[in-house]
Amino acid sequence: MTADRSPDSDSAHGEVMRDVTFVDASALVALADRNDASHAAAVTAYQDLVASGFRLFTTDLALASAHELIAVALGREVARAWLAHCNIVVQRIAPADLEEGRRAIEEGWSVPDATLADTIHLAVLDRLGVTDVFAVDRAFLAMLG
Amino acid sequence: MAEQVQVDGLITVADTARLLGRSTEQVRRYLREGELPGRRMGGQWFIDRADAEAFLLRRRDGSDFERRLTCSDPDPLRDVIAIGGSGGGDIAAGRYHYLRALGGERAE
Repeated sequence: MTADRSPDSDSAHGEVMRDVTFVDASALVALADRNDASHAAAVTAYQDLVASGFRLFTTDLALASAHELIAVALGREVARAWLAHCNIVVQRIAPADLEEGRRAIEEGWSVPDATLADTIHLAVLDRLGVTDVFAVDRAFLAMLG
Repeated sequence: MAEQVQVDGLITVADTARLLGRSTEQVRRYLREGELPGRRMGGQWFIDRADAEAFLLRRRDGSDFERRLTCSDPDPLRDVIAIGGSGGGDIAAGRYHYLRALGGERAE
């Protein structure tokens, strides 16, 4: 549910941000969808993070992906309300993140199931020095090791 | 006085320090640690201006990120928990599985 990437992981700045957690699209959806199989576990994990004082953020890419999934699964009105009340910090992906994510897919560095969004997010985490991730997508969690 | 080497597109440690708003010692540390790309010529470090500007943008982005996090809502998703209900998906299995589980026209 939550993953802490290797402490050896180093950011592009050489600094690791503590008590900061990236929330991926799967976690956003699992929290929003009360009928999802992971909903209860996601709510518990979220509440633990908040109680522990972690600051949460997502990316524009994850936000858009979650909005699309929620619109399809829960309906456009729910998706609109979700977007209006989703008060999480949104960090924009940088051109370099996209390029690194593309290279990871094109040159086969990533695990076979990795999507471009997954590899872009790994680049974002590396750039920002963030090691904690809140996700429920098993493929993405497997990538984090 | 040491001879200054001038190469197109490259700037000195002092120029880079001014651009970044850091000391020359700090810039040399970035160079030694590989955080900022540079090259040594004639005993001096030189930095590609484009690399220095990209470094500055990354730094500003990172600083802004930390500031926004510090000021952020500590419980930012409380109002969107259980905001709706699907037919019973499983997002942990991936987005395609989640949408496929919805069936019918909504899975498109």
